[in-house]
Amino acid sequence: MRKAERLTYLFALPAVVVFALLTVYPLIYAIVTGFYKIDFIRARTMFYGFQNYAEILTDDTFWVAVKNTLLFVVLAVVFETLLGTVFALFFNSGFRFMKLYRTIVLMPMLLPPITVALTWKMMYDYNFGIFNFLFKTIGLSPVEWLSSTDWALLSVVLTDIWQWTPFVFLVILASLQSIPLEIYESAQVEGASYVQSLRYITLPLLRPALALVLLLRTIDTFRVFDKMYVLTGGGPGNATETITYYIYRYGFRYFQTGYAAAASIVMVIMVLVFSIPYIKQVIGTADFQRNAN
Amino acid sequence: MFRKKFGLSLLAVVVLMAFALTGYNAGAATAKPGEVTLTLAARAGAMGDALTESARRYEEITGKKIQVICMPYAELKETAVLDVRNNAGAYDLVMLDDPWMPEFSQGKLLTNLDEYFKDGLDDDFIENCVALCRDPYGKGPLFALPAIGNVTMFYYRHDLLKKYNLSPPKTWDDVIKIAEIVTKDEPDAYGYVVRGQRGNPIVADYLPVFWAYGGEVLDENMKPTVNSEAGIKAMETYLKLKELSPKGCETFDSDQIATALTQGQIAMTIAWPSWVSQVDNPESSKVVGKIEFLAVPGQAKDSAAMIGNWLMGIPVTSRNKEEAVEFAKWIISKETQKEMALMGGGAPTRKSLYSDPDLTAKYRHYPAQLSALLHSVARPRTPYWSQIEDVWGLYLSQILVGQIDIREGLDRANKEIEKILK
Amino acid sequence: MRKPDKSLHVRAGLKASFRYLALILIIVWSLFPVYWMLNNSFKNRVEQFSAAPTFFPHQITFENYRSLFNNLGFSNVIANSFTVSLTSTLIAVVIGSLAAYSLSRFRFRGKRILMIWILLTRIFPPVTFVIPIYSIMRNAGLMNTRTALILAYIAFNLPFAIWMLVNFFNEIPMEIEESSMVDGATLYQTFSRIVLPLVLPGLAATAIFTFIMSWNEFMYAMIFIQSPKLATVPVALSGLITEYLVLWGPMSAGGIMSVIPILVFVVLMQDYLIKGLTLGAVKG
Repeated sequence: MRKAERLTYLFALPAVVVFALLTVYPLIYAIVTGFYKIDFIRARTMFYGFQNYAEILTDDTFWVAVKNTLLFVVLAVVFETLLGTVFALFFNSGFRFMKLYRTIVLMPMLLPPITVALTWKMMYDYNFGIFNFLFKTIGLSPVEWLSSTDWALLSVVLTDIWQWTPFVFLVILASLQSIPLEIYESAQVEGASYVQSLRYITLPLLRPALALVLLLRTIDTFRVFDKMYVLTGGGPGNATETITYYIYRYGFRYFQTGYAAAASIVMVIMVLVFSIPYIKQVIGTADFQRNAN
Repeated sequence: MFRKKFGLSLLAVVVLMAFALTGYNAGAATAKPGEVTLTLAARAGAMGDALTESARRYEEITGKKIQVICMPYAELKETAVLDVRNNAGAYDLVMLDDPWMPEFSQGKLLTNLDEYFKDGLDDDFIENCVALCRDPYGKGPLFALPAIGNVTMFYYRHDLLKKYNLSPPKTWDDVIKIAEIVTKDEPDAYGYVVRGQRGNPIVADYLPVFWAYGGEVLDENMKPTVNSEAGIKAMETYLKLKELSPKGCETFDSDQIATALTQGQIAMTIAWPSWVSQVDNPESSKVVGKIEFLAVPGQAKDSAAMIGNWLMGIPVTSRNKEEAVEFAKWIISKETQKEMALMGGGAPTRKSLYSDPDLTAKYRHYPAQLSALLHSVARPRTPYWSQIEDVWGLYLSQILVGQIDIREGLDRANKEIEKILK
Repeated sequence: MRKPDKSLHVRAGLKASFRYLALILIIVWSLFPVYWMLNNSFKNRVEQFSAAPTFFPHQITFENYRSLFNNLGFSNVIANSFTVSLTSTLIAVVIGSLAAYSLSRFRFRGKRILMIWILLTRIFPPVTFVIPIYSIMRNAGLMNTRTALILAYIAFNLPFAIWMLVNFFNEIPMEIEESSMVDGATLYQTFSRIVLPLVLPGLAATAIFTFIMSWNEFMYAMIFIQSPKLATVPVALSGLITEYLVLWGPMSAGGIMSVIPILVFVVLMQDYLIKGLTLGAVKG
């Protein structure tokens, strides 16, 4: 076993080397600079203690960004997971031209994000967009998709759902495909309905995959940036200001890199708090395996 | 057995990585020793295209190599700052938006050009353009060269104004009157359009109105006064203008303005001169020949067009300063500026070119543009402008969509700007 | 089985038509924006913004594609993206599966810390890391090389790859490996011959995601690469957002052209998803 243990380290070694080279310094850099007041352009640095954090936590705009981000994360993750799982279950039941359909469902994720955001911006256009045209054709009143404070965030969420549902779809599908068919067959013999076997067989077996999907989508939707950047520029007003947009403004528009680093640490802590249940689930399965052994 | 195999695959990974580390670099600049390649960072678009074309001609004439790299607005600034601060020296020349100047020169990112231009720039250059290149404004040493002389202008549909028997506006009150008539009477058209997207767009769009009412961003003691009476009146006018604009204008940026203008949806707006080529191009416009140009209207004060030049600077970290200066001199020469203007790459910064027969034949708005340039106002000269603009733009946008009322919004903007300047 | 009667037929028919209705809805949802992009890529600007949008280009133009390939050198751009994405995907998946296997199967000191660390690097917004990674690349003399991008993408995709693959490894019962080891196979043989084939669907899915993310990454590609000869797809496309206008036509054409190589990659990888399906049955 001792030999196997050494080998274990060896297996993990390349990954550890890459991480050591490319992530240790940036991570430490972010943590350290969070305690400094930095004017990057003029190369001025001053120790600032927890002052950055105090300023961030008392800034109204930051809390607006937090509120918008949480709303975005919850809506996007819930709908992406639901839709993606439904799509996966639907296609797992077997279709002719399966490969073609599967590729079609994956399409939104394959396109470059800039083009996706810009195409949606065009479709959302109040005056020339296709959505309002269709609405008017069927007698509905047009919607101010991007320019009203009620709709802007929801429109950005819709774009994200469209683009990332395929992610959930693919992971869940891969997971569904490794569930042995015999399990279903024996359930069917015992007279279980589709809903019953979904409830008592499929979903429990999907749990780890669902936890993973929730974790990764939560992390990634917290980091959402390019869509706001292209679709609304954080506006109208502060309607689509998110935490990453806030960090970007301080880091790259004002070059107050210390403040931006502190804000990103606040965000990381929030994400961790948010995702502890899934992290436990994902790590937990591994330990379960080990203990069961 | 195991070791051998595992070792082999580990080796494969290492080789692959080494391959990745070295093998793929063949495409990187492989300059022969002694041969200098100048690298210029520019804003993507007509200007970048014209610079690329000019660089190619320069290569033909001199045999020197120039590489022009075009990028979006925000990335241009990021890249330039990162390059100098990390002493990377990748860029020998950088195009700068003029409000960045104080920030860049006080951050010591740019080479002082006084020693290369002992007698300053010649008299043909428009004074307002040269002043932008100096820090402090107009008086200090030269840190950049005026490459493209943009200034905002007032566009209006003279066919529509004629139809309703209206004369071109002189004040913002006139603008509102005309816009009301057009919005009411002309089918499928609006009187005006504001560029309401949060941040830089709304600030650039609101500033001329603000100035026309006598507003000042910073007073002589560098204290912000965006919530002055003038600021409030200007905002009231601006909100009226929004009511006369197409819906959706709260997130309009230049592209949407151009669309509204070229699709014949609006009667008046503030816009940059480079759009004229779009407006008169039947491929992209339905209003060819129907647009006329004016200096931006005044109100309490005379007209106040906003200047927005592109300057060419040399980062302190450039390793080829002599050659870079040579190239920059050539770019701002009369002949090159004329060629670039003919290519549609931007407005000249030399007075004489505005009466050049080839150019005036191609660009009917040149006389109006020269007068706008001569009467233009620059955005405040402070190294904190990027931040002020962003914060101010946030509150202006909030007022525009009705998240807060005018007075409260401007008061809060003023307070935040005060905090920035401390 | 009951004997088939008429109402059952009707119900089966109803069920089938419901299924096809759902299928059509899913296809429309997934493809409409793509279709819109394709539609716009053949229109000129006036038609793109006509008051009544046209569902097919009335004046079909190939100008957008022509300018994409002639002015932007898009074929070279696609080749660059391909090199960078493929290399980083390959390395990330190899390194990632080794690490994930080790993390899934063994308990060793620092394991939890390692896993959290891996996750942390993924949580930080990429903006935060630009400055430190820039200085690493600069000090390593890697600025303006594809290597810089490949390394950065490996680092950014590894956390994702590892967490994904750990999950897939966890689903495989340990007994399979134990019986293999009892039969005298070494750990590495067990890994490469028994375990790896079982996680093929997971590997394929991971490779697809890694490839897509490398293909579409913008910020680092913009900042680390200066030479236009080395530009990747998103960087080249960003040049179409010009000072005053977004060049919607070439932008749409670029989106369409960019998707083709990924599509090829995904279709190839899908075969492994299917193979995984048949192999997955072994597991039960």
